[in-house]
Parts: sequence; C-alpha cells; structure tokens
Amino acid sequence: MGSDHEERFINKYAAKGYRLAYISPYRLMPPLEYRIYKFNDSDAAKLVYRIDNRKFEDTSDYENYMQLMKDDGWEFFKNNYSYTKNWYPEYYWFRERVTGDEDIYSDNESKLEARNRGYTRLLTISLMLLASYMVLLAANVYQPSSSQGIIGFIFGNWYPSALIAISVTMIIGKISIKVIQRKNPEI
Amino acid sequence: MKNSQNSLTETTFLILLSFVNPKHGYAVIKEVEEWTEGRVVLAAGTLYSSLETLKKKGYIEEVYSEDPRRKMFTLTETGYKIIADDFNRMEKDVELYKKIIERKAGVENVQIQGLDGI
Repeated sequence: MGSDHEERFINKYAAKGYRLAYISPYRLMPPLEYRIYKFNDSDAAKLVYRIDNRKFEDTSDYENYMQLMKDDGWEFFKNNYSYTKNWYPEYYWFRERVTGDEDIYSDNESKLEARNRGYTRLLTISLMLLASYMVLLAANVYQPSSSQGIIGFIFGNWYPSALIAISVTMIIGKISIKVIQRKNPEI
Repeated sequence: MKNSQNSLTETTFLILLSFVNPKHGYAVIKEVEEWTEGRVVLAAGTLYSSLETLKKKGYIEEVYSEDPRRKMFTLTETGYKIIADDFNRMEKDVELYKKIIERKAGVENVQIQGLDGI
C-alpha cells in the first residue's frame, strides 16, 4: 500500500545485484492490487530504485518533470504494467547505486508532501468507489447481506468494509503527516 | 518550503535567488550546488515540488524556452520582494548576533584577564 514499503522491498533485491525486469499486477480489488515483481540477476552495476507519485496539469508539465529527473541522472523504469497507473500515477526511477542513499527527495518536507499526495489519491479513489457502491445500494442493485453483529456485517459486506478501512488508514496517515509538519515547522 | 514565521527556508531562498536570472530547473540545482560548494545539493523531485509551489504562490513565472522540455522560469515582482524582505531580516539578525555575541565575548575576555591577574 505504501510506496515506502514497496521501495524498500525492491531495493533489498537491487542491493544484491538484481535488476527489476517488470512489474505485473493481479487485480485484487480496486483500488488495491497484488503486484508481481520480476527481477533479473545482473553482473552489471547495482541499482537503486525510487518511486515518485505525481499528477500533472498538462503534457508539457509532465515532459518538464521527466526531463528534469533525467537531467539529474535518473532513468525511468518503463516496464510497469500496474492497473492503478491511471488512477494514481507512480513513477519508478533508478540509477547506479553508489551509497544506496541516492534519493529523488533531498529534504523531509518534500518527502512528506509526496507521501501525503499518495495518501490523498488513495483516499479519494476509495471514497469515490464507496460513493458509487452506495448509489448502487440505493438503487437496489445490490442487497447488503443482512447480518448479525459487526463481524457478520464485515463478512457480508467485505468490499465496502475494505474501502472504509483503506479510507480510515489514509486519513490517519494524513493526520500523522500534519502532526509531524506542525512539530517541525522548519523542515 | 513553508514560510514559517515569515522567514524562508535556506533552500527556498537559494532557489529564488537563482531565478533572478531566467533558467530551467536543472540549472538551479547546479548553480545552488556551485554557490554552496556542494553543501546544498537539491534532488530533482524536491526541486520539482518547489517549482510547483513557487509558481502557485506567484514568486516565479514561466518565460520562453527554446527547449520546450526544459521550462524556464524567472522571479516575479512578488518573488523579488520576498527575497528582499528575507535579506533584510537576515541582515538585522546578523547585526543583532554581532552585537550580542561580541559584547558577551568582550565580557568573558575581561574576566579571563582578571583571573590571569590573580
């Protein structure tokens, strides 16, 4: 769910000399998916991977961003076939590993902002899906399982329950970012 | 990036100062690195976020670029005012520092001399 976690996972293999070949998804449930990472063993230089997430107003902004990253020495990882790419675009970048500390963000503030953007996007999508589910519910297309107690409700309505769980997690994440930012106004 | 207590962060100040002359993003990274002799090295992602914020705040604006993939920006009038205000604040802080610390050092010198006398 978090790209920090995903980044650590990829870099664990990258540090051993593996190179990411492609990322292919299995649809779990929107907006979540299960991703398969295919690595190739390589004798060439070790790499370090970073994941960015951004939304651009137009193509010229997108091109400007891509060019800036390339100018700074990052290479774009193309073989990402995630379904969710269209919903919350993530950009996978890599470069030769020197210390392993190579990063696309150089201060905590911009790093937190990036994390916050990711949370916002996932929250928006979950709420939208939840809203459309409610509409279908109101239109009597789906019948919610009648249930005994909260456990029964969750089992009977696992999809909206999962959406609510995601939304709540994202809201907690966003609040914790706000708290960190307030504690360190200087970063 | 935040304007905390009406002062700019050093990074923001340096980025704005670099935009006194029109240039594209990567040129800012290089210039700031050169100015600070490698002490401040901005990563591309951080700089891109910063460009977006500064654009939104109206401190910088896009100008014509021969290479459409590398957008050029320069300071707006507001941008000039922002760095000028920050410069004035820093200058006052420096004067204050000198006054306070030099006076304190002066007193300590006197005390040390006094002790030596004993």
